[in-house]
Amino acid sequence: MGRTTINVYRNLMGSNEKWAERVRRLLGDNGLVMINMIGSPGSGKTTLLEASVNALRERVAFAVLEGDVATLNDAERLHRLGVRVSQLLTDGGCHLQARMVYRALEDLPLEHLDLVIVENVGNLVCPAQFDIGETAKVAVLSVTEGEDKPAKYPMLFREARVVALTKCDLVPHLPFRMDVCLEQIRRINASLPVLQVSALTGDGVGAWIGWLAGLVAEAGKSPPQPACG
Amino acid sequence: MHELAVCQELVAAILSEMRRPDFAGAHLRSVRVRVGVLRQIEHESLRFAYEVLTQDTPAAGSALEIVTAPVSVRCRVCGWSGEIHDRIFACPACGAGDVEVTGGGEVILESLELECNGPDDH
Repeated sequence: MGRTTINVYRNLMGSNEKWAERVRRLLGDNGLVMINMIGSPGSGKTTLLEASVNALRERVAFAVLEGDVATLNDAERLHRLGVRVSQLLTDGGCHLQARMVYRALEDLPLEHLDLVIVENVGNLVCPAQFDIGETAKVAVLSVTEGEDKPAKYPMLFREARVVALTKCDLVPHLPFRMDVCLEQIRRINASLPVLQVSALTGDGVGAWIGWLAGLVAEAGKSPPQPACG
Repeated sequence: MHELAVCQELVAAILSEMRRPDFAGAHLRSVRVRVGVLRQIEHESLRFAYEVLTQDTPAAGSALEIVTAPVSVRCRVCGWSGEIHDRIFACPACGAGDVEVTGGGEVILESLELECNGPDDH
């Protein structure tokens, strides 16, 4: 009997990454941009989308992929507003994987779209670990969660291209320290822009829509009209 | 809970290695994986998933060794490179925040330790 050690060095994220690459090719072939919205359950991802759809559809043609563990609630909320939305149910799974997203994209009229918005399963850990082939990750953080979350979940804030800091209308009622939160984000990712928004009052929603339209313009498909507030 | 998804990949990778002809008749003793701290993989969850997913496979009963890889960065301003430990993504040398993460995000099956039957056993 002898013992042998076999060196393998195999990347275990590899098969998801292959599907993510396929997603990127599909998006590229259709001149599409896709964002991956990641935040805690209840951070206001769906509510921010609800507050955005009317102004957003004047600037870009978009569809939403709703990732959820169970229920069609979020998809129904957006469907009521006339949004083209597909539900991805993970049936207990805590994150979307690239293969699921690829299959869902195949069912969308990609040639008529500029932007696909993926609302990932509410969770700050797992979704940040799985590349789904998105153009940009969006970290959605609400002020009610506390200012220490960026330090607790650094992977998301390292990988995100923007932070949507939601529920900012509540700041006067909370012990939330905005300067501490922004400093925490800066320590994790010094160049990460933070958009302070309130879906309830509409404050900052214009800037969020402008950011999305800018991302689409960057991809060179539908040049946005000049910003109009 | 992403440990389960990662472990599915791990077990599939191990079993595909073990199907290679030169592994015939060998018994898998242990497996070594390298996990970057940015992956936020809980070791006990990964071990539990490993035990469950290897049941009734040729990898059943093998030990799982988990090696933690620290976060390493390279400073785009002064060129410093090395490990950081306090989750402040800034260059320890010059303080710049413009750092590239060069390690800590990996999840790698590094090696398999096999017990082989020598020619005398046949």
